[in-house]
Amino acid sequence: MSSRILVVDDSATLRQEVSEVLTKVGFDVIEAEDGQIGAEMISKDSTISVVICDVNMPRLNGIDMVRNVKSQPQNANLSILMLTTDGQPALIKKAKEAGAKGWIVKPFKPAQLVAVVQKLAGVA
Amino acid sequence: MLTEPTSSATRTIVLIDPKADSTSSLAGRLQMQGYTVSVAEDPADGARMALADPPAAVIADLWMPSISGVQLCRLLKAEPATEHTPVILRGPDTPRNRFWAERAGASAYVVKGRMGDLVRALRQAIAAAPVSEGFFTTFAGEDIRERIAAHLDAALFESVLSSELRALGTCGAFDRLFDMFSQFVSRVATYRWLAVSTREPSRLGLHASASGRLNAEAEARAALHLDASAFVVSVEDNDACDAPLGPPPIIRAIELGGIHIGDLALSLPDGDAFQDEGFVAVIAREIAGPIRMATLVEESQRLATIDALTGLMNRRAASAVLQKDLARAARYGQSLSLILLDVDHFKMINDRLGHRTGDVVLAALGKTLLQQARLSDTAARWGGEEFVVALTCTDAAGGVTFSERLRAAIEAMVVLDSDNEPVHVTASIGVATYIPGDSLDSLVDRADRAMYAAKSSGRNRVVTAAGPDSAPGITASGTSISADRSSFSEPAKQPVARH
Repeated sequence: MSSRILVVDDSATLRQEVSEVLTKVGFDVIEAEDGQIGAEMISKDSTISVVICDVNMPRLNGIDMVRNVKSQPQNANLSILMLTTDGQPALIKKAKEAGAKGWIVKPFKPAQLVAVVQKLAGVA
Repeated sequence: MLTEPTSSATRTIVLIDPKADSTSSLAGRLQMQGYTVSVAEDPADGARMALADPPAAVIADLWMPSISGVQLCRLLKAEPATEHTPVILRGPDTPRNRFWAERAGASAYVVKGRMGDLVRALRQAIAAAPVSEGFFTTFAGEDIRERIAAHLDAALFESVLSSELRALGTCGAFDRLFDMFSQFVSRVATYRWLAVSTREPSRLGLHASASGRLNAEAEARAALHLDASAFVVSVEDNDACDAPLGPPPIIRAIELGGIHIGDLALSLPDGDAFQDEGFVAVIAREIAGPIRMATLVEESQRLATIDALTGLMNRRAASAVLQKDLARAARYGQSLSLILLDVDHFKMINDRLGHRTGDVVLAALGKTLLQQARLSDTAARWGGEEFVVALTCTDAAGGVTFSERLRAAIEAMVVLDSDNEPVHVTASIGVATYIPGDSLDSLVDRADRAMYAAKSSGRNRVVTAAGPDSAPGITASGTSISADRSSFSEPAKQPVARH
């Protein structure tokens, strides 16, 4: 698979969880521990097609990272999913406006996550 | 972000109907129309499906056992993922159901069984809906019912806020309105300062803590781009918190009927600003009506009190104030002098130079009177070309000094007629000082007689009315004339010799 998945979350446990679910179905997954590093990795690696990202992170929060990344034209086709415990409509709206593709409230169902990522990565 | 929706998304319908048998025939009919139909018998499942993969439209029943069609519709409209997804509700043909469905945000309300209506409504709704960006939301474990309850609570909160704010419309004046408004907002939010600015008239209401007041005013003025002329209403108490500068202030325009009537600004301490932005939008929206009301009330009070041409109080309003001034003088043993002023040769000015010039003269006179009068004095237009000034805590000598200064100021006025030629304006002034037992009428009467004495002895001068301790009047040239009540029998209604 040529497309890569980036997981951005300050919790190592969560990153591992998501990574396991996605590598099991054949995806290549890389990790970042905050929004700043996430943004840097996106700018350096054009094979990243889907980003799964937490909202509350130090240095650069998820929504600001989305806004930052999606405002750059080369990231027009990049799909960013928020994965977080929070479910406030006001925040969801902010993420949508910033350019995110979707919002998943934790805990997530592995099958559902796989299906969504597959669809967004353009795989079957 | 996908720019082009996939063809399947434009034709996918989520159909929610607890009664399986009627659903299958409806689903079949819709499929014949070219739609892909996903069926859910349980409204919660249907909602979850629609949120996880927003379809072209959702069709649901009004009457469903666990979650009503109206609740479902409201949920979908409140969620960013499906806020633009058309929802069509089906139910019995009753006006109230139709009304409430529409209020809940349904694109259409169709009577159950009317296939043609449904297909038409579907086609119209899908065509009218904005292109979907494909944003989705999934809740793995969270109950849809909980989500509906949370949205309902938020809507109710907004509704209560709105109605309490609108009730402030009974405050007749801006300062009272701002006081009540800041009391209300400080109960619902924590802020460093709250500011409301209005245009026409230019005002600034500011609520801050006593210690934070100066900084607050500077920050508010900067944020709202206010010049120094704005009249400030300041409320200071501990309901505003004293915290160092946090995020930049939230600013919202206050609009009524599309007209920008002012601005609202809120400075929050460091913390979570997300929740408060929606809240600020609601309060900015609802305070517009009460502000407009307060402005109208103030304006109508002003109109009832002020003479438009001269800017002075009108006779009706002034009489009330003068009665009070007199009562105070009587009660506390204070002195009070009343002057009555009449413009010299006013009829001639009107006849020779035109009424417009006459108005210009009166307006200039009004301005001069306002400049000369002190804050404790009351200046009013008493008649066509007659003016009254009540000088509180001023004895006869003081009244005369004031009057002479006024007389000189009037003579020095530069007034131009319609040909830009200067008009020489002078006035005859009568001064009367309060004697115990005086009514407003008797006091004005004495001043009036003194004024006529001024007129008949050459105009452009000050004459005092006689009283037990009367001071001599002063003429324009500095010599004295005193007019005793008995020295002239009957004052003419108009001065006899006018040239």
